[in-house]
Amino acid sequence: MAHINRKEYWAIFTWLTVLTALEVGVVYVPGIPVWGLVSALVLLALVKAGLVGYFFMHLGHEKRGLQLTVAIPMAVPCLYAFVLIAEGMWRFLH
Amino acid sequence: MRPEDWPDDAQVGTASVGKVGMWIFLLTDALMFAGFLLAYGILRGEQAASVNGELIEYWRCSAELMAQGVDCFAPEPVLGINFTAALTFLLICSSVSMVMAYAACVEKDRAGTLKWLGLTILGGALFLCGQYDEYFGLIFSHGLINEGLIFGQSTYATTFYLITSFHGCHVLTGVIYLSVMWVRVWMGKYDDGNYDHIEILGLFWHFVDLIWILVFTLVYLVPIE
Repeated sequence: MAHINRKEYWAIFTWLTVLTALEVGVVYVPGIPVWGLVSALVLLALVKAGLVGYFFMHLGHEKRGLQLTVAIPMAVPCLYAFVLIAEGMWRFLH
Repeated sequence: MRPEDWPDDAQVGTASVGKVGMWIFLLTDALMFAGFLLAYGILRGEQAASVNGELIEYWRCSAELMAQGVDCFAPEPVLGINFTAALTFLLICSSVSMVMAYAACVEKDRAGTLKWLGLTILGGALFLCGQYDEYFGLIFSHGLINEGLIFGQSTYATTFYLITSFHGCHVLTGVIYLSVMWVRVWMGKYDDGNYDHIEILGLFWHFVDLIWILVFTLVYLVPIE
């Protein structure tokens, strides 16, 4: 059965708006170290992307097989990005 | 026949061939975007240096310009965060209108589906206008090209235009796809409650939104210097 939950859709919309405002706001906060700012921004972006994928694309209601088909390949660039960011921060701090 | 009437597969449930196909396409597309964004990150990371605790990036200058003695620390045009944040909000709005169109289609509400699909098309079209304004200047800005951010001038400019224009092509494709589906809904093709095509359309449109969320953060928000 198709999963429809309008209340949930509007709640996700609100969260996405709030998180976007938070992302923009945090850029303007003075005194945050670069590593802290980058970590916060990447974390917020991943949460937002996750909300869109899980609720709007209904990945949360799919079978485990389809979920893993999507999640496993996407984990590879995420892992690579994590290494890249960590390496960049290490170089910045040294 | 509605998707829930189809046999329940152990791996993909009642997902249609079209839906699984769209997911596979989106995965390949996501990996292409991942490649671009990782290349952006590598280029940026390679050409950054810490000078007295300050992050200095000289990747905005090409090797040719550096050889000519051009001051590579001179900044190219600063990207407009507030304007792009408004475009991001626009895409989020169009994402929620898309999911509302899907809900209306499931409930066999043709008028509701047309209304929400129309709003989604409007959101996508406005986003494209905004991107045109950002590049060339229309109403809100002089345009990054006029301000000196030229494709090929530096790795910064090239990667910026490559990533954002590739995403823009997706938005344009999405608007065309949405328009075709709007006409099909208007013709009553989905009045029987078969929402599969609308759900597949939604997957593509939400993907466009999802990718922009990452592009907005990594290209616009992560500090340059």
